[in-house]
Amino acid sequence: MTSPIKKDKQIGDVIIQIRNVHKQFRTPRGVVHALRDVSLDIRTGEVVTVIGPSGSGKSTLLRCINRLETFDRGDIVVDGIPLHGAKNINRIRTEVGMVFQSFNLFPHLTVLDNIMLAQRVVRRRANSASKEKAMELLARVGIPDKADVHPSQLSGGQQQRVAIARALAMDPKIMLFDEPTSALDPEMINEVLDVMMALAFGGMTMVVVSHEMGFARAASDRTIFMDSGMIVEQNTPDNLFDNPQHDRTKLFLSKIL
Amino acid sequence: MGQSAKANQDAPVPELIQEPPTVPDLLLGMARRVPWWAVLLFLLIFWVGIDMLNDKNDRDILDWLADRPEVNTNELYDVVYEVKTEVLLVSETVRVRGLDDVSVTVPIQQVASQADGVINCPEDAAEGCLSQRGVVVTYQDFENANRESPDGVVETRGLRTGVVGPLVRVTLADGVQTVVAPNDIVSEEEGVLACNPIAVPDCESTSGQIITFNRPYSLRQSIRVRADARIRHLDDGYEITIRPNRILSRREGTLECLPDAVDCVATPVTFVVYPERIIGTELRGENDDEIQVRTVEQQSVQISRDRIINMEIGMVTCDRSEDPRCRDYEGTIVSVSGETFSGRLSTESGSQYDLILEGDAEATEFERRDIKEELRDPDGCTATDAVACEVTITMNDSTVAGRIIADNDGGITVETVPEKIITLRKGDIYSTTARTYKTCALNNPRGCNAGIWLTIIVTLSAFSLALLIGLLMGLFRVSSNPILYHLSTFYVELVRGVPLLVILLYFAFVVSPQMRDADGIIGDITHPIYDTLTKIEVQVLGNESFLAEAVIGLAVGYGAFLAEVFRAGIQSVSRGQTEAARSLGMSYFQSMRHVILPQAIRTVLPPLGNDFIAMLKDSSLIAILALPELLQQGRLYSTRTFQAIPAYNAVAIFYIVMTLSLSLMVRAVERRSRLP
Repeated sequence: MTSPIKKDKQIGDVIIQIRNVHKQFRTPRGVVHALRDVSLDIRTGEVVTVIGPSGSGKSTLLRCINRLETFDRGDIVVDGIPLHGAKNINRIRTEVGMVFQSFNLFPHLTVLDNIMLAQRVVRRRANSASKEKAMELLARVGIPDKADVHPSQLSGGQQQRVAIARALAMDPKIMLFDEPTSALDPEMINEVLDVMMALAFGGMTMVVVSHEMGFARAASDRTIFMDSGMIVEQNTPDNLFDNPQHDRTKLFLSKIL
Repeated sequence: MGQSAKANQDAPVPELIQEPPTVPDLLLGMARRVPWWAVLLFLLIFWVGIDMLNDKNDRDILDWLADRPEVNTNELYDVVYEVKTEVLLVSETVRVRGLDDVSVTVPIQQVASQADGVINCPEDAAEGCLSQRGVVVTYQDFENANRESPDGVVETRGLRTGVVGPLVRVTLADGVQTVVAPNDIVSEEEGVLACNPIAVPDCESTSGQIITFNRPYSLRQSIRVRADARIRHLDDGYEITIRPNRILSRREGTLECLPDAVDCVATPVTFVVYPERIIGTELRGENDDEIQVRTVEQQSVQISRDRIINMEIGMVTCDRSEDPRCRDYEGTIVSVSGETFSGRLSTESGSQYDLILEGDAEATEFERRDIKEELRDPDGCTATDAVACEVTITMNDSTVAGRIIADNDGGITVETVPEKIITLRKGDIYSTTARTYKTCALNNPRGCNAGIWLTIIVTLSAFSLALLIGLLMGLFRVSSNPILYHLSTFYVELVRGVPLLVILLYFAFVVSPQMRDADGIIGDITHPIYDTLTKIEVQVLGNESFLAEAVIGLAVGYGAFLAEVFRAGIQSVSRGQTEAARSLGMSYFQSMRHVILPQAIRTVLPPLGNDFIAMLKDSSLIAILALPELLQQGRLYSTRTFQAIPAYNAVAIFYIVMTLSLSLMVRAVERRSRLP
């Protein structure tokens, strides 16, 4: 099952290059090897979904891409800039938008201010320009009437759509989604997935950690299965879900399907 | 309202007919929201405030409560003028201390050089010798001259006054006697030795055998302890010692002789200009380039409390024959009971006694007409009796008229000299510092700087400073930089473990003396920070005090608690907020400024409010530094009048009024800042 729009999409050059990345967490109970020798290339316009059991390192991998986590060994190059020892990490982060499981909207600001803040402070856009951009994005995610309310007055799905709009306001080249729907009520999941799908078909480079099979099949070009900090298997979503090669993948899929 | 609108959309509910509320209903509704104690509080403030402002006598609240006449301790010396005044430089000296810990005063003429540096102990130094750092003064030392290898010689002239063995006794021009070895004598001749009228006023030049001799000296190095300049006012001969760094300019000149002086020789002298302090109130000047200042010379009389019979306000008259510029003024007339002396009768005549007072070796004279009553033991004894005649006499009652400038446990201090009007040329004024010298017990609605106002000033300034320290240290406490983290943790743990009272005493008596000048005289302080602090203290309290130390101590003590409050506030904002802000490309400071702190502030506002109220109460601890804040003034009032109950009641009421109104404000702020 493939979408007709997906075929028209232009897959371009490699934009994220991950080479032999290792990451260890030192906890009081010992060292956890979160990433073991992970290598991955993601091309412009590509949509990659990452699945795997809890603690398999998928979120860590995602957070390493915009360096919310540091890594111990290996190299990650984003848009031509190596992250290891990068001085202007904030410039890279403006190119990489991130959407969190728990939305992380700023509760003391209205929806509009949430979307405008980083534009004004980081991009140094004028008030009027950033407001225009924010209103345009709110219309795109389908809640233009909620501009002046505070996040706590919104439903989970609305909050996550605001979070997507906030990330998009920085005009990122890459969007990272860390389990964007897992904190949502089932009836709100689709409104978020619709926005993400529209984004994917619009040609955005996306890395999505999610177990939403429907989204993976419909929108993503590649699905990666991770376990114990390693990439166990990667394939097109249809092939991976329908015809898994590794036993570990089979076991995992048998449990979630 | 939002709910009813929604309900209307969902289903056609029959619309409720709402009557417009009547005015009494509205008032009742508003009244129900105001707590009863706030009403009481308001009435109390209103009642006290209105009545106090209506009080024509400007009495303090405690005088007002006890319905006592005002003890007039209100004095207003408006301005401290520093006027450029030319005086005669009599002598300049530096006090130096050697490695042997012996201090000597060296005339500036003998000083070869002064510079910051270190004196190292010589190799053959005694054990325990410590090298010293400071201003190293190299000076000519005549006492410890080394004759074998003289460092230098100076030629001095003196009058030969005699011979002691092989040495010649010589009197120098300044009256000092010295002896000279024969081989140091350069020449001897008959002549007139010009006297030094600076060193010896009223001296006469003498003629005789003038000896010119060499004085050998060695150069010695010591650490400067302090420098002094002795100056003499040209008009009245008044001499004081000032610090040389206050001298504005110097001029070499000659002191001419009076026309009728005998054998007088004009002497070369140094004139210096220094800012003389004149404290007074400005009056309307005669013309544009002059101002007139009414001053009160600070000659004061201390009267112990048990000798005061009566005090009343009245006109203090001055003696115009003595000072034509003086004016009568309204002041306090204090009737003082005569002092009592007892001692052994030495001699006795018709008009006076001589008594040898206890502990004294010599007799003291007493005029018989000054004595109110006497008591002899044994009864009726005389000076010629075989046994010692012990006499106890009580002097007559007297009156001291003037202004009360201090009123404390030891008694009252009265300034007795009438005020003077002097004219200052505006061009001569070097600096002016406004200063209100007004004290009162607890409060005084018109321009009081002690009591409740000082409590408020100290609390506000200390809390602002503590907020700064707390925010900075709170940020350091959540910093990933190990140096900042450990530094702030050390500060917090250290300060939280020490009682606030100890911190206050520590700042006042350990830290501050290290930073203030050795003598700590106002105006002669050289440290710029402390100079500024002192100026503030003089502005607020009219004199130098521990105000700065109290504010800093309170701020440092509370900074540790506020740091923990801020740390908790910052940590209460979830990690996701930082991550979201950083993932949008904000820097650490941008995310702190725009995302974390605005949320943390809402969390910390209630504890901050509580800490502010706690600090208001803890500001009473500074009473131990003798600062005249609310509690101290209450205590003084209580000891002065023995009215402990109204004094401490009033103190407590004032604190309650302040803390309760503050908690109302904190609640209001808290309500407003709550997130929707």
